[in-house]
Amino acid sequence: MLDPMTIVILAVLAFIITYMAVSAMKSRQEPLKKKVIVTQLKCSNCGYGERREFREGDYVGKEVGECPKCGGKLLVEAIYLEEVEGIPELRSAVSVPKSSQPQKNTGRY
Amino acid sequence: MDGSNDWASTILVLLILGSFLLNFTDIPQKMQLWRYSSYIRKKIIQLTEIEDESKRKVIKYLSRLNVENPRKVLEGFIDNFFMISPVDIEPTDIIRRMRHLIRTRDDSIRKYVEENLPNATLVQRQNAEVLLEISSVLTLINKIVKHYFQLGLKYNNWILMMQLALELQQVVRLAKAYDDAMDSFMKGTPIGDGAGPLVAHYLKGDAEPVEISKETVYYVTEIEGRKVYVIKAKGPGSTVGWPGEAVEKIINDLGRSVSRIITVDAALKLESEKTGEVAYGVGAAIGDPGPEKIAIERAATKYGIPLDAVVIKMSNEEAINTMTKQIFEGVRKAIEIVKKIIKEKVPKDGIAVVVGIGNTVGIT
Repeated sequence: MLDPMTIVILAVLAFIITYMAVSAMKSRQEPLKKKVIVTQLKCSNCGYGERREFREGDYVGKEVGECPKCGGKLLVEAIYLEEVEGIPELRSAVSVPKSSQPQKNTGRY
Repeated sequence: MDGSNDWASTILVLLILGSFLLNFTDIPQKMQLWRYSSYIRKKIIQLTEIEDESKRKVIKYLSRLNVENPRKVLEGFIDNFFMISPVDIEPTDIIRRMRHLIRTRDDSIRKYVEENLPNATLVQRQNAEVLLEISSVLTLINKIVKHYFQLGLKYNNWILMMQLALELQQVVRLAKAYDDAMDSFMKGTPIGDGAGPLVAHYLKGDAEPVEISKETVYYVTEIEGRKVYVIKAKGPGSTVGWPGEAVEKIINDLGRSVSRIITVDAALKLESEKTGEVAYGVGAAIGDPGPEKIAIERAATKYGIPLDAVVIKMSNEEAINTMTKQIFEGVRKAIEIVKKIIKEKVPKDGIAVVVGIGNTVGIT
């Protein structure tokens, strides 16, 4: 039979260990979401559109070639960051910027 | 004495001793100081890593542009080019003085970059200016945190330490956002703050640009049967232009024939708001230190022209990083709102001026 003092000490130790374990679990980061920068192209003549991964040198309004349908000007319509799950045609992916990743305040200092 | 009495008296002694230590000594404060200072040290290491990383990025970018000694160019920029705010206890002509100081600083930075990057294009130079500025800001943030940390240690000021520790989570997050923003400027992708110029880009259609102020252009187009002057910074380099001066010039030329001035800008959202939400109201939607905003307000007031504001909401981090899809969708909504304002509030023969405020990197 344990004496009361030992029980108190064990209870306090159990509380501290549980508290630290819960805090450590909370501070664990959520898995990274994959995101990719998409360049959206649009024909200025017939409205044909396509999307591809961003290439260095792309900017909104840039002429990137001829429209495969009507031969009109194919322009960069938009450039934005999008989650990869929704766009299977874009194979390579980049990670979310660190600042956009969820950060939890563990309250520990 | 039996076992339970023994236990009770031990607890009582411990309580009295604990109470004495907690109330009549500095031990708890010392422990707090120790705990907070160890947390701050870890965060300072993180901030230093971010600062070093930003410097590496600038050096890499400058090396790509064949700059001979990129480290020297960077070191020559950091800590320099500060601006001392104008005297504000005498407010007469403070805006004119502030505008003068801001432009003097801008010109000095532009000249410094031109001298060190003589073979770079205008877009590359504009992006290099922003990268140098970001690296400089990260160095400053790190220095300020270290300053308060060392002050706290020096004077055993545990309250200062606690305040700093509580603020640091946000500070590190902001520093990371700045560091990430460097990638956007190096690649030349549009950023969240470019929402205003992007709205202007879509509204201008096929109209040709006319330069009206430094790095600022306007387009004349027709929307919903009304003549519209669209103003934005000249892209695709990283610049915000001088939209206030541009509006002033156009309004002074057109006078009372202008029925409406509509400013479109990115706005910082509250935590409970969603990214990409669009709202409209009255006033000049522009977040400059003062000179550009007051120029728009004065021009509108001079001729009694109503001033509308359309804002696209986003966080601080999103404003300086590559534009997200939610913000892009917000841009689409903002275009519809601007068109609605033009249709409902500008008479058929009237003229509207639409100003897309923000950084035009990646947007022509």
